[in-house]
Amino acid sequence: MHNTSKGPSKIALIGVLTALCLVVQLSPRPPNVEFTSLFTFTVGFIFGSFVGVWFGGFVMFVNGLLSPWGFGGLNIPFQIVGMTVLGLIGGLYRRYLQGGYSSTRFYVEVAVLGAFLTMLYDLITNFGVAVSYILIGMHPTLAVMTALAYGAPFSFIHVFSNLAVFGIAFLPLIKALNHVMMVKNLG
Amino acid sequence: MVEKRTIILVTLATLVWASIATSSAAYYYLEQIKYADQAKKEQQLMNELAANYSISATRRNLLSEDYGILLGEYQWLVGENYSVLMGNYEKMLLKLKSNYTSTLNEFPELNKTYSSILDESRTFSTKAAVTKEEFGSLLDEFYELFTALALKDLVGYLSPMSEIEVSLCIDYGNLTIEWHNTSTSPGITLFDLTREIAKVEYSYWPTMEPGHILVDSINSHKEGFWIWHYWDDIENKWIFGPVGCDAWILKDNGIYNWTCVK
Repeated sequence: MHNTSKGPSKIALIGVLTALCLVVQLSPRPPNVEFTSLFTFTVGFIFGSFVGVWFGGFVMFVNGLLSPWGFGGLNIPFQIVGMTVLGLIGGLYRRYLQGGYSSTRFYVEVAVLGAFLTMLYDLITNFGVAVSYILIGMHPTLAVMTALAYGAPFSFIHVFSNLAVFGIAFLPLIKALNHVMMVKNLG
Repeated sequence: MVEKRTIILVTLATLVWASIATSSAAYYYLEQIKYADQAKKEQQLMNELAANYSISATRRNLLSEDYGILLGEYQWLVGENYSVLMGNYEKMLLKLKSNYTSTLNEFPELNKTYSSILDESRTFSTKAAVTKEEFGSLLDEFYELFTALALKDLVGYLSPMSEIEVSLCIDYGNLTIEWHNTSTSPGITLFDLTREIAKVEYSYWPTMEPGHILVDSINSHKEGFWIWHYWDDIENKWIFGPVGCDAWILKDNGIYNWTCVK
């Protein structure tokens, strides 16, 4: 009885989170300030790497098609891969955490981890941009260098905004989600 | 003893810092190269402009000198037959052509003016007597053409340095209206712009001043007369074109209109 009620609740919660994440992602916002990384990492953390990977991949797929910044084009696969990494690491991070932690340290750790994963995401998507340069005839090394260099100002905003977003919002978000899950399970 | 988790945390933070610092440095380096390249090109253009300006000024001054001498001879000539000055006039005309060949080839209306003056001067040369009024008229026509050529010549050197934005509306009079918003060179006339964006048939009227061109058809549409207007920003209304379209120099952000009226 317990298992049958848990499955639909979990799916419903993931559905709500997906919708919420997409609404935030597709809303007008400053360039490279986003909450999808946080949501994906959190979903991975709460529901496991498998769900995190699918969640991140799906949100980025929809975003690539409907983003207010325009159609993602060739970069869509790279954005999907980049975001799935966040979902995957979210799940792995929970396993790694099984030793207890103090709150202050956790805030810092998550903030740094968020910044690192954002940097990784930017490297992957910048590589996608480099591929498009290569396709129009640029030398591969120059293409990668140019894409990384011209992505730097955007990457700077992205990394530092996610440092703040992960540091501030991750712990309250997992607490809230755990609370919802617990209430559902009790029901 | 430092904890393993702390080491990992510090390593990740260092990686983030190193990545951002490296890519920012690469960005700064590439931007510097770009700006240096731009500055070099702009300097090169400035040098070319200075050199061309010098050539253009020398050319204009030499022709002005010839014109001044001939005008003096005309004003101080004793007698009523000015045919003695026709030889010098034709020499000056040929000199004008040799100095402004490319400009004459580029602007057909000026080339037609040149041919018209040349024909007129040849007609006068065959006459036994040329009156003061006839020769005076030739000199005026020469000076007008010379001034127009010198201006086009100078503006032609400026065109790689800057561009102007203009809008041209073509109203065919049959409810078909086309808008063309385009960038073009400074110093260009309405006639030049119309030729750039549409197929134009025109007639040349030597007696019309200023400007000698009447447009007969635009994009093969000739069911009426083509007239032009410009938009007055201050009065906020269309003003009828007061001169020939080949004498109206376009301004930046200017709005112009061709209308076919029946």
